[in-house]
Amino acid sequence: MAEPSASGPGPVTTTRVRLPWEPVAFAAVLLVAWEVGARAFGVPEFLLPRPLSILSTMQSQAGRMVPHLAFTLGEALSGFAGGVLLGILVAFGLASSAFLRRELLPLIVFSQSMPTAALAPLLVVWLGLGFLPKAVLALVLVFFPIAMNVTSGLVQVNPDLLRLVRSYRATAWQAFIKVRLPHAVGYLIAGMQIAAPLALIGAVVGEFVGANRGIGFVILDAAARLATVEMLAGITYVGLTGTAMFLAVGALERSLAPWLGDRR
Amino acid sequence: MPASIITVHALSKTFTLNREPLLALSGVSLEVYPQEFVSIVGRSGCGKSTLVNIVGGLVAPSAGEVVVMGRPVTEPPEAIGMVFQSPVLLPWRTVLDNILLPVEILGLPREPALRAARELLALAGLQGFEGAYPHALSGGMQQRVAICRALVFDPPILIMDEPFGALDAMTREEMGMELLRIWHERRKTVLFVTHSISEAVFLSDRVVVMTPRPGRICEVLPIDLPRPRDLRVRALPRFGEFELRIRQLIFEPAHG
Repeated sequence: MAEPSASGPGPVTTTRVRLPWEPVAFAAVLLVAWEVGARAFGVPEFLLPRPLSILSTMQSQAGRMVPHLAFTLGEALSGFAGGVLLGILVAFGLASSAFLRRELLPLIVFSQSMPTAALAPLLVVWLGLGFLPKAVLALVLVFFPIAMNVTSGLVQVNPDLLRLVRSYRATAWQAFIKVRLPHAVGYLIAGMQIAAPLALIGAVVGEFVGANRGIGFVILDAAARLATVEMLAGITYVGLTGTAMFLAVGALERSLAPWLGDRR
Repeated sequence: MPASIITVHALSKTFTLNREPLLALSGVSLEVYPQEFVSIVGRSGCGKSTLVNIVGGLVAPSAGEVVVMGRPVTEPPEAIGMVFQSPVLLPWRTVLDNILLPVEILGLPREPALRAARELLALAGLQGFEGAYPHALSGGMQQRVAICRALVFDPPILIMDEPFGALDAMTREEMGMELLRIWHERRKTVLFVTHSISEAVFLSDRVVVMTPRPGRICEVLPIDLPRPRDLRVRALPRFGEFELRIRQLIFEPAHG
């Protein structure tokens, strides 16, 4: 059971929005050190572009890069949504039967042990150069942490909770709805936090293999021209987007699972 | 003599542990009368939890029978509310929704239950906490919520399996007094398992003393201390005599 907390009687817990100024400040310190260090030691721009150059490239190239980024985000979010749905469905199956767990789990682990980068060309062969193979690749990456986490959430329920509802003669269905499912919500959200950046990686890796749109295509195009500053600008856009997706899942948690709110 | 509300007849239970049969209960018979407060004390492994789990319909007996309000127990009876050692609250439900859980599962009408829940919250001193999540409450408050939950569908019988076992000594005494107050107000039949001899004497009309290996009832002691009981009861010489008698039964079975 949860530790009884000694904190005073705060009947209704409120969620307050906290600006993440600490990580921002920390990142700023690192970037300043990089900028100053690169200038002091005279590191050539084409090898390691300085943060200020990257920032100004991000600004000047925004008109070109942001639409590509939006396209990639669309692929990632489609794959994310599909992967979450598929993961939840598979978890329901795995949680409902030990037989399925025994038969399916090795296959699922096998599917995850295949390198994504090697899977991508295959998907291009099967599904073409467009939107779909990237979304599918994102789905493949997203599906695994969701399926694993939700299965744990459905199965690893405190037996005392199940005994409690049994004392009211709850059916297996009622035990599922009232205990197992809500217990799995926290696990689902934790899985989604892991999966959100993975979805973006899946989409970008897919674009590397064959695409004429998307931020992955932009980065690869810059690489062909040895335009390191453009590459890093694209990569930074991807990183910021992944972080935004992660934070969005956190916001989802506060509205979907408020009881987890002030535990961290 | 009034008719008993719980009848336990020649109950035995054998568990299998490492392929060895283990006799947890042997030939236990007991009658509990309406509105009585009966405690069961005994060392760990004497089968007292097993006994109340069988009465509560959560464990099937190997032999013998339990009858609750005239009906043989084959599944958890609706006449019984259970409180366990840990509060087992659902962390994703607020205090009020935790209390209403049995109402939802039993499919009882919500409006009267909501009123009952609010009354119980007031009775247990939990006003203002109905919207709080369990993790924000202290251990004692969580257990109070569990007691409210057991009472919300107004079962005539309350089974409590070491409900205060996880609390510190002072909270425990306080909870005992609160339980007596609630019991006075609601006139329930209570079957109460505890490790604390003084708690059993303080609360009970009768104390059932059990001995282990195999678990059986060695004596049933009527505690005819005056009611209502308050702090001063513990200072009565008779209180100490009851405690001594129970200790002798548990620790010096030969002298019993």
